[in-house]
Amino acid sequence: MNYPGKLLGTAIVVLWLAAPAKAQKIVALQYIHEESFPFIAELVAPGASEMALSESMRLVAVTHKGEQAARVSIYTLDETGAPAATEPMALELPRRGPLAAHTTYALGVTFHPTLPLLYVWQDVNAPQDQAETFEHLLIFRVAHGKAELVQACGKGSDYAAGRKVGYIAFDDRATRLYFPNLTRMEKGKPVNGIGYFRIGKNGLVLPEDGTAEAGFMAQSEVAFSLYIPHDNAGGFVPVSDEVIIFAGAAGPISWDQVEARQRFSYVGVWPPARPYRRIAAHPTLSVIYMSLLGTGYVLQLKHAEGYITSNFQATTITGPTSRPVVLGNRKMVAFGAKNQIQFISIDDRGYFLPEFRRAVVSSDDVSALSYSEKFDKFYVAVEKGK
Amino acid sequence: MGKWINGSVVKWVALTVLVSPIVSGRTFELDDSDCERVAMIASDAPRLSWAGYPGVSGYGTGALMFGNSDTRKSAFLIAFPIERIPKGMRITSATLSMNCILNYENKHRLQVRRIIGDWGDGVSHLYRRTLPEKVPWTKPGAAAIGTDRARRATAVVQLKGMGEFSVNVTEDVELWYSQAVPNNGWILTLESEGAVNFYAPTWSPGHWRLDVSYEPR
Repeated sequence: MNYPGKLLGTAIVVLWLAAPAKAQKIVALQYIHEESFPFIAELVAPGASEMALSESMRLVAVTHKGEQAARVSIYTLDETGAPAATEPMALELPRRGPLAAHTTYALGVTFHPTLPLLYVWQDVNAPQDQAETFEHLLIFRVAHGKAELVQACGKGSDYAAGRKVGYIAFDDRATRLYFPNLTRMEKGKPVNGIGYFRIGKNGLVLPEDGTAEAGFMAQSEVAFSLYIPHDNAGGFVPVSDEVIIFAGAAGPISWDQVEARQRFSYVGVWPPARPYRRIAAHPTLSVIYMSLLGTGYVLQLKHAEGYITSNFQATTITGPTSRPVVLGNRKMVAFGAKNQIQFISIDDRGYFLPEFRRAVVSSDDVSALSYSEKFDKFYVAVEKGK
Repeated sequence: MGKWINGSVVKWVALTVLVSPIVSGRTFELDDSDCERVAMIASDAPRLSWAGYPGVSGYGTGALMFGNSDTRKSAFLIAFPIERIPKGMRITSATLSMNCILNYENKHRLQVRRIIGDWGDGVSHLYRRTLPEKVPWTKPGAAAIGTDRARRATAVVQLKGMGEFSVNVTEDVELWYSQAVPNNGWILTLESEGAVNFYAPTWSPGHWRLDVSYEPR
């Protein structure tokens, strides 16, 4: 380059450096290559959609899409948390009642934190006006390689049928089981609802007073709101007996069960018009993460006693297909995507750090994931084994 | 080469450098997306950090509704991270800009004051922070003059219609930059009775801006 060229080039660099500082809202991630991920444990589960983990029972439950949607696969773990070299138990959802001829499918699963019980939230392809006898919650006792149905409930005209998303979650004390997918007509328009069942010490749903013997009615609290999304967003973060956070179509929503004036508060989070949101909590910090399915966006937000607070952080990865899964021990948040898992590093306060790692796995739609802090194992359902 | 040195390129470069911010000072622009500490607190939702807009089912942040009525007194809190300005500078001007998106009347006045009390995660009408422990405002809504908010208003914005409004905040930014007082940002409240709406930082970021010009001392 000649002298004038150098002079001009220097001037351009100087002027560029002197340009008004404009901070980036979106955290730019740098790819860190990792040869292997020894903490990943793959479970072969074709068409997997969701996953639940029990550290105490050393079991992993996986739901499926498509032809196997009426089945939950249950995998056994060894003493180190590694998948046992045995075939998974195939738990077929029982077809009960007047809707036995209709197709049923599992949407959400979770284990009781201490008892050998598996909770399955199921749905049915049936017209709404015929589905009020359908029992959405099934509770199985899982022991010695067998699963026995011990309770079925969650039915009535307020329970929506044919939904595609349905998460369930326990509170910290296992006294409430939060559930999704209620609906009712208000002023001629459908309004969605969520609720929780009260759970007894035996892990079963408590009956409403006077209904234990004849015509069991589940003891529950429900709430309906225009803010509750229809079939797009999912995930619960129970924070306390007063407040839980769930995923709304525009961002996280806090449900305040005590203070009526602020019953529901949503924090609409940029970018807009990305309704397919999933939510998860950090195991120890007052931090939640959100993935916006079908987009490249993932978010980090803080809460104080369940109320979203301060500003949020956003970053972009290859289109996430799963809810976030926090690896507290490893200070990472994982997101499934097509044929890969992306691990974003976080700092001690839960903020995204500008780096991520990528593990390749055999699945077009990585959505069934879990992490065990106890075993330091990250479980992922894949289409086929290596 | 001599032709080039004596020619128009060199003149252009010299002129450009002379008028560049390096010589004449720099402009530093921040917007709400740069701010970690930002909140809308309100008397009608006393625990929320984001009591942006009261709706039928609760509160949302599609917009920030400044209210001043018997049923709702709200305030917007924002602290820009001005520590990003290099050291050894002199603040020559600072402007706070905001964007009103709904205003049915032309009478409204929005007051801007410095916040005195340290505030942060979990801020609400009742508390100036909830994490790591609850610290209440001296008076709910950061209403105590002299302890929660500054005695003297920085500015009063006359809201005539909608659109962008700006106020001079040079003195506040200089105070913060020189560390004469801690930077706890501003509280904005509606002086007049009624309600007006502004863009919400979480939903429509970039509409609350701080432009600071400075030069070497």
